Amino acid sequence: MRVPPGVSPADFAAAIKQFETVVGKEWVFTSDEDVDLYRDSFSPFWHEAEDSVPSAAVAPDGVEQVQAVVKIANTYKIPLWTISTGKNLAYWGAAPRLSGSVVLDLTCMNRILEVNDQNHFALVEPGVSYFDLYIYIQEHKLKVWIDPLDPGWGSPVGNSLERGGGRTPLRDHFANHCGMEVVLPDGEVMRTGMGAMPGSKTWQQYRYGFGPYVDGMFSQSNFGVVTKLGIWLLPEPEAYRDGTVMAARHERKHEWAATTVLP
Amino acid sequence: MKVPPGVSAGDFGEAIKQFEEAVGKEWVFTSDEDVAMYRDAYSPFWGEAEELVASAAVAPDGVEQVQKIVRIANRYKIPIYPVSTGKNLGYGGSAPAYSGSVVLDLKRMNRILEVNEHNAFALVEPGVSYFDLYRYIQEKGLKLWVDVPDPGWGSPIGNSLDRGGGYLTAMYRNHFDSHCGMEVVLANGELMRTGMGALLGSKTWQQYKSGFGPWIDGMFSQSNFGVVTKMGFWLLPQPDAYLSGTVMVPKHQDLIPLIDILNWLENTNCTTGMPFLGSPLLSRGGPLSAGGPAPDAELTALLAKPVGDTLQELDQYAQKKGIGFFSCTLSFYGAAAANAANWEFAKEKFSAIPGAKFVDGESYKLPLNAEQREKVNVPQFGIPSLRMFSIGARSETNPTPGNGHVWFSPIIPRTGEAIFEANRVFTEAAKELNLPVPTFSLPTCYWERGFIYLFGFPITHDIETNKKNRASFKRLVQIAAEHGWGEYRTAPAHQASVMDTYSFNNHALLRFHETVKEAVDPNGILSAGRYGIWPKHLRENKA
Repeated sequence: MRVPPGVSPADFAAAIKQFETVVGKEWVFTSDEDVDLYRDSFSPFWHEAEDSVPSAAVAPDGVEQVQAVVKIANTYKIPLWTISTGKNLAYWGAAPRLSGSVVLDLTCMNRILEVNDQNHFALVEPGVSYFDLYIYIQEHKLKVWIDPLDPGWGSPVGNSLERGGGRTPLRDHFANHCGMEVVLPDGEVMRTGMGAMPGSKTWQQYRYGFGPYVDGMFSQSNFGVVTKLGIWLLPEPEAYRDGTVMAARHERKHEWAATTVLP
Repeated sequence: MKVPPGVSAGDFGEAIKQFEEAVGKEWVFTSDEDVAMYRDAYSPFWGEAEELVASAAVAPDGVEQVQKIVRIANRYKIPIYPVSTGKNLGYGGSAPAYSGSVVLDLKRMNRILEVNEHNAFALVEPGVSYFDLYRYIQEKGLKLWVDVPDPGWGSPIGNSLDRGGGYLTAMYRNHFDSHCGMEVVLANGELMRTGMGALLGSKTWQQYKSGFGPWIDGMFSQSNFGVVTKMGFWLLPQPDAYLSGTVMVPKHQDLIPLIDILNWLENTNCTTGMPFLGSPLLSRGGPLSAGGPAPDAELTALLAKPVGDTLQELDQYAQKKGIGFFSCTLSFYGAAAANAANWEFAKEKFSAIPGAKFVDGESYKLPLNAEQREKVNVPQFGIPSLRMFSIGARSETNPTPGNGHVWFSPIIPRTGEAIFEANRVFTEAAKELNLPVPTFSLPTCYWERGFIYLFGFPITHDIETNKKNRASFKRLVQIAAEHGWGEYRTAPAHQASVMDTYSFNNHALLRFHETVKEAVDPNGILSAGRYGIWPKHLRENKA
């Protein structure tokens, strides 16, 4: 069994045992075969000593389990590396930045908590993929569109936090999120925006809430584990059309250059 | 000379001397006469011991001077309270959230650093007002619009950081959404740039918001973590044309599909300007009155009772007289042909409501000519003004106007059902609190996905009345919270009460803010108490 840097084998073993108590033995992975699934298959360090590999992985199912895992990691100073689906291959996949970290794999948290087609939003957990959300919407015959990215196997939560983009009017995925639930490094759970009010009716309808707007702190960062995220959806539009304009010359002229419009 | 609480007169004297060295003697204000200029004219504590007042003010002209002041404040533990223009009267003006703070008045930092027509953005300092920016754009003949709030004398930076709103298309009218890039002096005096501006010699500071790594701009809005000294804003290229149109629906229950269709139209970008909700029926007399014909005896009798009790009868009356019960006015900014097509399409969608009627509204090729400018509500055309202050001002019919207002402004779900529920709840609340019961209140549509109610609470110079109003305000905040509705913004006098309602998991979010506060401002010098965030040594003040 690999051990995270700076952690004694005994402490690591104790932490693993406690992880198992929290999430169940079958959701803690320590064998090379299992752990290798979290390697970055597009790693620019493949087969080199610098290739970043996890020591283990733990897959909680629920916010309380995430909180418990984070608290155990604090007790034994175990480095955690959180992924949602870990499928953005060209941006590092599921592998941790600090080799030897334990991957906190949120794929089991794949609940679609709400899709509202009156106000056009969804509230999802990190393990939900674009496919999952799309299939749910189709099965429930809801008239809303998601903004998927090129490969649809990733997570709307993960992609938004990485500040990825899509193709529709809601293509800035971070700009179109609304409300978060976050487990902080000390294990406390926090809700942002209007969600900070217990029983809030507008968590997915107004993004900023009251006081400092902290959501951006949890994107491209390592300040918390996002466990729920609200996403604005596009009501199914009436029609689609595109067109291309081609400019005749390479320079910008003061007047717009002669153009050709394609149907 | 007033002295900030917890600071010795000797230390304060020394700090003032150093402020004077930093900015020049004429830009440090300590006389009662000068300092009184920073009082909140709409203070709900006017003339009481609890009124939030400054001890002094200092007005730097430049980032280096701001840094110096912040360092001096740290040395002597002087509480300072930055304001940009300090002109948002309904939300606290320029008075500090912690009484006795020194106001850091940024009005002299009024440079317009760049207005870029090709990429439609501006980079400004905090002392720049909407009027300044508008004039600059006009003088240079640039084809750009600024989204302005109702009174145009405020600062785009201040309004954006307070998360204020305007009238144009959704992203622009949300003034925090439309900012791009900040420069901030941190509480330790360090200078930081956010987004792409963190890159030396960046060419895209105003063209991509979130930069690389954590996006922290939101931390400096409605907060006390830094002094924003520059900020970028996205501007709207002058549209080709403007069009508005109104749909009226006959029955009260039609409000529900009316809002659903409105949401659909706005969220698919069919209509782009700020929608306005109205009631042609109830405005014939009630507080929504727009100067229409006075109600007849039958309607007057109906309106004497709470609207919630007479909805069926009002429906019958509205149908008999052919008056719409509710209305929604849409606006379109874009190519004239596209505006017309979008309005036609909106009519088609609203026609799903039986009996829906339509009235074509204003239609202008832009820019407006002088005659048109006299007629229109200018902020909807990116033109700053102070006309808003004529509402409720002293006049022949209103010889004793109030002294101002504070806003109670809860966000509620953007549904017709929520409007009816809010009216039921706020009518009950008004009865409980002995407040005037509104006929029927409709929310405003500043934000694209959630409604906001704006109730102005009168401010008087009568202590007993103000006391009663403060208690009522506090109770309304609680009542709203019991229904899951929270305020988006409030005046310093009420910030702690509102923050207290955002209490999920034992105030986890506020505790997070306090952790940040201790990390970035260990001496707690910056805007203590703002938005309910107190430095550790003052936390007993929270209540």
